[in-house]
Amino acid sequence: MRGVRSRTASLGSIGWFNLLLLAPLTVFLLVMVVYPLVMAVLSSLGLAQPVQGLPESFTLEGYVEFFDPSKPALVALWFTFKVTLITAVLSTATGVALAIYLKLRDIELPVALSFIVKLPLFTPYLVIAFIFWVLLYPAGYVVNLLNLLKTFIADYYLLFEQKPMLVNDPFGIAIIVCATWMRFPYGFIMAQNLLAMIDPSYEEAARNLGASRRTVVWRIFLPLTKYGLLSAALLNFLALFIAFSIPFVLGASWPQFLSVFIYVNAKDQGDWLSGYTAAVIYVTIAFAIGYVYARSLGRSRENA
Amino acid sequence: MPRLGARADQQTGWGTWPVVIMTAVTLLILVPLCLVFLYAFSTKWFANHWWWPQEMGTKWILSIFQTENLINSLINSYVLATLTTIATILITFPAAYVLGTRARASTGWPADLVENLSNLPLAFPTITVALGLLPLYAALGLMATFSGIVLCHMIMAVPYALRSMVGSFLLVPPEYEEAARNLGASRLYVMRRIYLPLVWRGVLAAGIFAFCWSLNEFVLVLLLGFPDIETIPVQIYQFVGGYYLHPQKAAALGLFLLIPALGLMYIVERMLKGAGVVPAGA
Repeated sequence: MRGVRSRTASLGSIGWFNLLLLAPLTVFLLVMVVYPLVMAVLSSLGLAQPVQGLPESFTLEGYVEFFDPSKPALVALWFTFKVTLITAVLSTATGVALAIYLKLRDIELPVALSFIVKLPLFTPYLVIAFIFWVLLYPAGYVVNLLNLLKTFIADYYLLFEQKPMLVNDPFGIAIIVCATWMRFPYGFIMAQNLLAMIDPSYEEAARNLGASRRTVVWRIFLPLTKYGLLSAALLNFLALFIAFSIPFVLGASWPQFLSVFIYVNAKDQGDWLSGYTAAVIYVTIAFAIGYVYARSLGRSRENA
Repeated sequence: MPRLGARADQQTGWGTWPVVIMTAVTLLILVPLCLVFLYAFSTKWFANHWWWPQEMGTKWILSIFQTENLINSLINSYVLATLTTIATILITFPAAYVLGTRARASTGWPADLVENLSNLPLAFPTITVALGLLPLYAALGLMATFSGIVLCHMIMAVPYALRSMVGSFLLVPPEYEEAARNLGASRLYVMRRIYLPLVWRGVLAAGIFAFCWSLNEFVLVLLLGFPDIETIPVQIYQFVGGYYLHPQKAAALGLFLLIPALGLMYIVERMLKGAGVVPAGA
């Protein structure tokens, strides 16, 4: 009874004019964000038939097929996870290493250099995909340089018998290289901000007691910034995990990134059940990562 | 006598190694970006002379303005980006005012709901929203229409724009509004004379985020607009991932994305002093 009364009271004190100001955005988000999500979930279960070819009654067929190891969906999910994980580790580690090095040397980057480091974050995705496509494709700079190199390292000639396949390759090399280039500035910015928040007296005290730089990094910097660095790594993971443009341009015809797999299944092959099911699983995993990211960011702020 | 290692351990500031490392980092970032310019301005580039083009010129840039569908892509991209920016600001500004001022206290849980809902697209695979929107768009006749593309571009523009504007409103001391209201100022007057002069930087940054997002967006146009509506990213994809490979034309088109994106983001960086929102997705 008390709960009901307090809820009524809180609703009564709502500023209706302010609610009116929130209304357009709320309606927009419900229609353009929540509705597609609900539609995808219902369609994957056969409870809605927005397009032809979907089952007309409740079924888990799509999910059974997705998790069937003999079917390609799990391969696409595993490939996406593997490539994304490698990229997240590489991009975050590179950025963090650079930030720690500059912190140890007590170097503050000039404004222009600071902006240059951030450039990959602001570069349009399709332009980044193009850049790495022309760098890594068989007539590109990297492959030509590798071919040039083979004349100097005859012992490893076998490695270059054929022009190496660095783009649209089944290992996701081009995606990893491209996304690492694109995301390492984020690891750098996050690490730089986190390191700047550490009380300098900790480092001074440790150094006065004879601690080496390595000890300072392992015993002070990393323990104090671990949640922040984890959240940077998770955001880098999430950024590529939900990506489409870069895997679409740089990925192989198989194995495919999950986003490309969904596109090909639904749009090109008309297998909407598979497309909707994979989309729901995709969103669920992405939200789970997003939740862990938010938690680790919260822990990082508490620590700060 | 101190160890040599210990002395090296004390070094700080710019020295040989920091200069070498930062030069390498700068080159690693700038060289790939310069490739776009190199390809866009190379008019003759034979395979046996792979390290540098034989002839440079503006042939590919000019060819964009001589090809109807490429001109249309340029116009479409910039018109869509402008409309998305205007629509995003119109819809998020009132909400940002509520979320970033004391007005929030009077709205209770709906404010939290809007804030949480607006964060959803940040962890959202765009392909999923495109699939979910297909039936709605088909039913409402929004497939391959400008209004349909503007609406779906707003999905990803809203979270960044809202964050930027809410951040600006939060920086305005609430006493300003209270004092003005106590002296009889209307809400509109307070907005016009107190908030707007103080939050315009956040609004401009929000607009730039929305503009850049829309300009760069690819998958939603591919699924909900193509082939009737083509944009620069779709054309670039066709020149590097489609059946007709043409890196030079792709690079020439890429300049129309790259230059505005970097220029506008530089403005945001200057305005927000490095505290800008970092985009996710790829």
